[in-house]
Amino acid sequence: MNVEKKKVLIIDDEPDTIIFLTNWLEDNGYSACSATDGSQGMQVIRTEKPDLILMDLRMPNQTGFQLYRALRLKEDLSHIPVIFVTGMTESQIFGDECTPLPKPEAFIEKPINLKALHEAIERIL
Amino acid sequence: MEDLYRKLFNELPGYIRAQDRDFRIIAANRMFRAEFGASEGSSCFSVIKGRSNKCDACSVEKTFQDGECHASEEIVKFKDGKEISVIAYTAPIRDDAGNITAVEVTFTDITKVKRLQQKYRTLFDMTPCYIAVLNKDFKISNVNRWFEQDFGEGVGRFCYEIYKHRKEPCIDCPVARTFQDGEIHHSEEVVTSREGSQKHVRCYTAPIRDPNGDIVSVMEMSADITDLRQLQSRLTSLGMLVGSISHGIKGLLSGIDGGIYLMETGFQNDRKERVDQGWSMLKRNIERIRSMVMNVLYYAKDREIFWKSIDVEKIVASVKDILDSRARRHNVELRMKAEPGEFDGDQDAIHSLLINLLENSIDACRVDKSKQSHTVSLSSRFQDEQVVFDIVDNGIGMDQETREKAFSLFFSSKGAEGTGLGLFIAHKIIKSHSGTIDIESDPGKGTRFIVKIPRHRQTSNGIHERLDNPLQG
Repeated sequence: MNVEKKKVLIIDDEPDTIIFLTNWLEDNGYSACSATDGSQGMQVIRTEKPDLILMDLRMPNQTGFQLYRALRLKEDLSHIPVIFVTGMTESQIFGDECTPLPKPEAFIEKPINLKALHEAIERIL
Repeated sequence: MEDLYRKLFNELPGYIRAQDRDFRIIAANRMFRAEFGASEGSSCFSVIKGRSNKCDACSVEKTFQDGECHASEEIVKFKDGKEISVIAYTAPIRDDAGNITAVEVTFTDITKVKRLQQKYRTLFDMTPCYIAVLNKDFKISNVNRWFEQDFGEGVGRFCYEIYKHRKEPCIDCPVARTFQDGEIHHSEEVVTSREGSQKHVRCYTAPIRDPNGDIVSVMEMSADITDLRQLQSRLTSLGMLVGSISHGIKGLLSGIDGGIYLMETGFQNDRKERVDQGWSMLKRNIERIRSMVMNVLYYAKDREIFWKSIDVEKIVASVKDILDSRARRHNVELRMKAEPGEFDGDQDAIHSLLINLLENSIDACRVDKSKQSHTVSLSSRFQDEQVVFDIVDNGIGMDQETREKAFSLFFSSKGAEGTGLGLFIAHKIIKSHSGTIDIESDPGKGTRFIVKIPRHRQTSNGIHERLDNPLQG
């Protein structure tokens, strides 16, 4: 039986991270697509309709924060689960002094722990 | 009766004498005679001061003139040469008709009081902070030596005028609060010395009361904590540095993890192209970590310049070598053109400078989605005894804010990769070579950096020195 692969979108301004995660996702039975900043990310979300988004937060043009907020406000897209994959710490993102942000489905800090990422993806999809 | 008065006069504890209009001593008590010597008929100025003519401001003369009592502080000399401080009180002696026939002068010895006063004055002067005594209207009535040294005389002027060059009292002034409640208050202020340098001071105020307990003035003691604040700001910026590079390093570690993953899985599955991809990813990220660490080292330590003669063509070729693959990866064409020649500088520093500027240009192209093709060019030429590096890109460009802050520490308009160190270090290197950098940039159009560095090393007295010996310096 040919089961369609789940599609994961990687949004990261670092090309090496995109190459790394694309290969790893494909090795683990997912299909992958990518974008290098927030504004490109929104376009790819619309065209590719991913099942999950791995999102970096600090990026030029439009940051992950801006994209994530916009995404959560769009009725037709707000259901797409998001994992933050970022060099920032949880307290830097959700701490008392930060602008309140809805929690994503999972949070993975760089450098990426592949086991933790795998578990998070399995749980969500 | 007269005998009794004479006896009393003689035995009074003080130095007492009477004088006529010609400044001659006509009578003196025992103590006076004992300490100043036999004196009736002698002029007062010769006896008590060893002078040959009368003193400039003479209280005896004043009393003869106005018939009033006067007091003055004097330093007088005993017959054995010992000097003492006295307060001289003068009073008129009148005849039955009311005419002043003589003036009576009493010396009270205040030498001990003076010494004590001097001791406290020394303590006041030498206390290692700025002390000013202020009246209710914020006028300064007394200052210590430290204050005078850094802020000038000050007495009679307003404290806010001296300390802050203001025309009106400061808001929330601790001196005003002490006048109000009699309590000690403190605050931290930034004041400007007479040379124009800014000083951070911790200021304490305390009331000075008269015998009735009323506050007559307030003493303001300000400790200079400029060094402490500078240290604090250096520690803060070190903290920011750690924060800033830790994010960048996390990204680079992900790149290294990625390279290792690709190589491992490539070997396992015998996929050479994946091994190659992993290997170049690994090399790339190690090179970037190396460059980041070098920048941190440049920041952390004021590196002494190792002057030598630099071959422009060679250094430009070496920079191109390092950046070529990075530029290709981001579809940026890298063009280099160097006019042959040499200039004086620190080879490693100039190398870092060019890498930092060119990496910035490549990044500006990488994030620019508005153009199909991107080019970064570096050309160098010699002009007016300077080497000029011209770095032009057609990347994203900078708005005014980015342009103005481009060389500020930890300012970055980039995403994950920006540590805010690159252009700051570049600027630091240019300054250490007595050079200049200009930015021409417009959002959407691109950026041009023009770096000019004196061709020959500039010594501290402004003379250009030719470095014929590459080991010199």
